[in-house]
Amino acid sequence: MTPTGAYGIAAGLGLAYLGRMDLTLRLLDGELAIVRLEPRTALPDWLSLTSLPLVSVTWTTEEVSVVCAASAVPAGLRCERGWRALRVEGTLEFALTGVLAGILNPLAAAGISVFSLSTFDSDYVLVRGDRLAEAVNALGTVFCIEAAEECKSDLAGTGASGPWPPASH
Amino acid sequence: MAVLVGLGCALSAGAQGKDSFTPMAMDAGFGVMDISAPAMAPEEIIRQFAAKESEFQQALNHYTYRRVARVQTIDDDNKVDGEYYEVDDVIFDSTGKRTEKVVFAPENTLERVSMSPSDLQDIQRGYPFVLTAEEIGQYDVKYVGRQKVDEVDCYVFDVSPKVIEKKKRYLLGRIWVDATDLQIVVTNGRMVPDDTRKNNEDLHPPFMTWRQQVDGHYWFPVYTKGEGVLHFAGGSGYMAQDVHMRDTIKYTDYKRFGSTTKIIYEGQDITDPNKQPETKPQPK
Repeated sequence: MTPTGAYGIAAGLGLAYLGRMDLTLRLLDGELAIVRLEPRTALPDWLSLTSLPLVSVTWTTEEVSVVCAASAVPAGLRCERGWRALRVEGTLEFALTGVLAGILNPLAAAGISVFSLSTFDSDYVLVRGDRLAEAVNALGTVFCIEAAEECKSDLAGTGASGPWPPASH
Repeated sequence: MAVLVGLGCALSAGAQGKDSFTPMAMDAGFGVMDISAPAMAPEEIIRQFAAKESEFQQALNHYTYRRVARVQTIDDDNKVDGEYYEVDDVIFDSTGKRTEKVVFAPENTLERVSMSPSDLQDIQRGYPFVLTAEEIGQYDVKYVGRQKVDEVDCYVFDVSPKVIEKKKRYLLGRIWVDATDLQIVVTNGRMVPDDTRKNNEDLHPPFMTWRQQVDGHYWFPVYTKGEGVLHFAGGSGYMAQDVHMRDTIKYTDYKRFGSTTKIIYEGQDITDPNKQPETKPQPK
């Protein structure tokens, strides 16, 4: 047990996102891109639905939006590169509330913009790679943060080489 | 009861040289301690029960179960003023890997404290303590005596970590080992280490875990109760305070998960749950 405020978040930032300390966020390996295609565009040939760590395609009447490995996206498309994904570990019941807010509030307080995705099982939050260290530091006050085996070194810039916040003993 | 209170005091002193918590009276049901030398050498008892615990750990790895965890803060009027409550199914994913699924998690109303990663680690792995042959070398295990817990005749051992490695959690406390089945039936103590550094305080209450025979072969954790007053010294941004904590964890719905692994009990393959060992444990 830690006393409220021990991580310095009770004052100023409020208690709203204290509640989900038990969740772990996992940093996924690889740079992601967010691609905007014209509405009614067919699934492009360059997109492999098996290219991990994450592929998401959303069709709406206004657009087709693709999130996938940046390396797969050909030049010349309307595209935002350089995103990194944090996944909420475990399976989240639909009845759960406040999980995404718990992640977004500290990022908003730190002035970090996000791109969020939800799947049947979990939530994903994408942050820009150049602000990853800041994001991990902001989220580390509330969540345990781990990195996929392939990208553990990416947490080095945050001062964490393993779970964050690091075990203090 | 007196034994348990005394034990808690000893644990605190042994752990860090000063009290970071006040142990609470836990439960009765313990008989008189017989401190005469046992018929079997304590080292042999330890070797045998650790081997049995290893068997149990292997068996447990093939069970799913439900864990209901409740962590409460108690005010001066002995009323609950904050609660963390979560129901998890400890299951296997489609690849056979152990995973946990959150079944129910209402809003966490703890305000005076927050759950630390080590608290969650204790709930997941510390409270349902298993002391296997592979891990027993990390502990000093000292024979205390023989004592009945309800009607179960037990060997009693004090257990303390030899060395505390970074990021690891250890039991500092006492275990009661069924004298017939040579398995842990009760665990009492605290998970250590605490962190008492200013601005990093992370304290943990004492707990007691009871096991029951679930499958006719092994003793499974079924209930954990923890209670204590944590003394936070205060630091930057937070005041010194005493927080009365009460934990209850229930482990239910144990079910065998299909597997090709054999489960060996007393040298016999009992992978088929309907198959009884040829030599039954002696009745108690």
